[in-house]
Amino acid sequence: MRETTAAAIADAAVAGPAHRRDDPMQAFLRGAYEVGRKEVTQHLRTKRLLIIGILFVISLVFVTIVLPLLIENSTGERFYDEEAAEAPANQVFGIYLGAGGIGFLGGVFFIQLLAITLTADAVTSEWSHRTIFLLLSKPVTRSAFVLGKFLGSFVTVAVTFVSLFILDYLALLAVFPGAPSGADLGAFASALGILVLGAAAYSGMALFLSTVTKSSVVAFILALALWVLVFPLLTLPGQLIFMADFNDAGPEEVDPTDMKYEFWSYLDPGSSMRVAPKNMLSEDAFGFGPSVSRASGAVLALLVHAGVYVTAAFFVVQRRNFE
Amino acid sequence: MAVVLETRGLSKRYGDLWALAGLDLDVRAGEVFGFLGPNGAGKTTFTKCVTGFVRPTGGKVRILGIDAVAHPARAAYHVGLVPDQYDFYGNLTGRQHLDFYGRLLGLEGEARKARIEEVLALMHMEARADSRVRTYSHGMKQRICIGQAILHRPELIFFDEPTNGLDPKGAYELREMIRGLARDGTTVFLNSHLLNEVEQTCQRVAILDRGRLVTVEGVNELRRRFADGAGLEIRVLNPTKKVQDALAKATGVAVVVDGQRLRVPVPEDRVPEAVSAVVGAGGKITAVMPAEASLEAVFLRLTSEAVA
Repeated sequence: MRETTAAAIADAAVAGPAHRRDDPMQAFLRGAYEVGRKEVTQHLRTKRLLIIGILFVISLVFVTIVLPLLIENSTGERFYDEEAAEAPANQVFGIYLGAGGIGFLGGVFFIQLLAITLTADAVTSEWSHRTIFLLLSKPVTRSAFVLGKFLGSFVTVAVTFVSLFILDYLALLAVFPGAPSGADLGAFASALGILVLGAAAYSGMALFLSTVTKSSVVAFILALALWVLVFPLLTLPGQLIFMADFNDAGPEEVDPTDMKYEFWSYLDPGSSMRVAPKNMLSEDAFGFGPSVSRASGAVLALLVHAGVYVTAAFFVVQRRNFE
Repeated sequence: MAVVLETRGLSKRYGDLWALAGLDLDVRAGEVFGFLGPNGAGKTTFTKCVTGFVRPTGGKVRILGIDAVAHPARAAYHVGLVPDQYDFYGNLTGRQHLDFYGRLLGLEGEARKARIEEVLALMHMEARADSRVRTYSHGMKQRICIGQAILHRPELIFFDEPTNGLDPKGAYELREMIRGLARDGTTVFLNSHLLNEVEQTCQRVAILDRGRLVTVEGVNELRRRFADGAGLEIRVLNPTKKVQDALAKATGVAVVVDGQRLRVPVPEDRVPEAVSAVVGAGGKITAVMPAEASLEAVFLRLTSEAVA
């Protein structure tokens, strides 16, 4: 910079406010949108999204297309048979979507993994990399910052999975003409909807953890611990009560859908997500079956999970000193 | 003169330690205000309290009349910040950063794009604007950082140790830029431990020690006030040995020579004989004035470092 440039910079800086001083709600929405937009842009440039996305595509295509083709070749019969009482494609999707937990690369597993991976450092990375000191020096409220962070990660996960599922569905239709049946599209969409809500719950949980520590590694480890250890353990009392009643009263007297058993499963968002396959099937098969009440409960539980975690993140960030 | 930044009873406590102990401070429109203090005095805590990163334990902060503690985002429209410690998103370019910050500031469409081009040109960053920030040098990052601070033409700009890591040329250019900003009406708050930098740039300074304001005063007034015992300063074009000896003989005290400045610790009523002695010895006087203490000397006297 030459000396004349310094004067020019000064001139340019004081020429008068160029910004728009809009009302607080507009400013809040703009802040959340812009933070979310930046978050999505950054996620699209990261390797973790690419790596997990590729693994997901491989497992999805293998289970829904490659495996059926191999079975067709070995048996000589059509795998996806639209004349069957229960659409086999739905059964395959149902099993795939419902499979979760470490060790099985099912749809639920990938959604949970990606939601946690993309969100666990949402706030910690801004703080530890000191980018937050420029971001929050702008007219962005902390609430808008948190909301933008959540929406950015959640939208990235949701759009990635929904678009890949739809692409796979279209590919499946091309490879296996006539299957699955168009009537099942609604069930397919509602199953995806439950998984997307699950992504919101896990993103919210990881976001909350990223506000309580300055270390991305600690936040990620805490999120993993909740995911694979704490949440599943929370469902244990329901199972123990069920087993006790089963032994005492016998199978005829015990209703597994009783809230005193089911309530505990709602404490684990993963358990609620695994309800999704039930919506894929019109008849009982593989132990699944349609369950409107269970699906409604799962939707409500996932909404509550997401809401509680994001609200907690709001409160923590509001009180946080960024030093 | 209008007050741009006002704090009343601003305090911040960490456990038993008061990092800020009830600071009352007014920064006036258009001035370059220096904020000095030894390490740990509370300078950065103060800056973070008034810019909304740290919640004060008590007290008020007003920026152009806006309660900056309750509404930091509203106050942010009027404030630019060049923090001491910051970084950018490594996988975004300089232009993308300015665009992001411009959007957050509510700059819209073509006006935002035009302003970004203007700032990039002013910062001489056009050629590297589309490179990812992770490839930038420290100086280039500092330019983009200053660019984001002036993007919305704020009324008040905080510079927190802005010359850290800059080479002498870069530091000089930055000081010139700060003077230029103030000349045209922007208020500059300069938080620095470099006394020379503050002395060259600021009109008024606050000196902070252990969370308390020791003084808030004009730089020149401060130097004069603490010039007790420094006496007279006579500026001479040819401060030869003969001139120095004549001055010492006439005043009866030792002469301190600092380039063309001859300082003698005598009161002002002895100016006539001092001047006569210098002129009599062939000295060519350009100025006679009360000697001023350096800001460094003032700082050391006022802070606990002097005691140490």
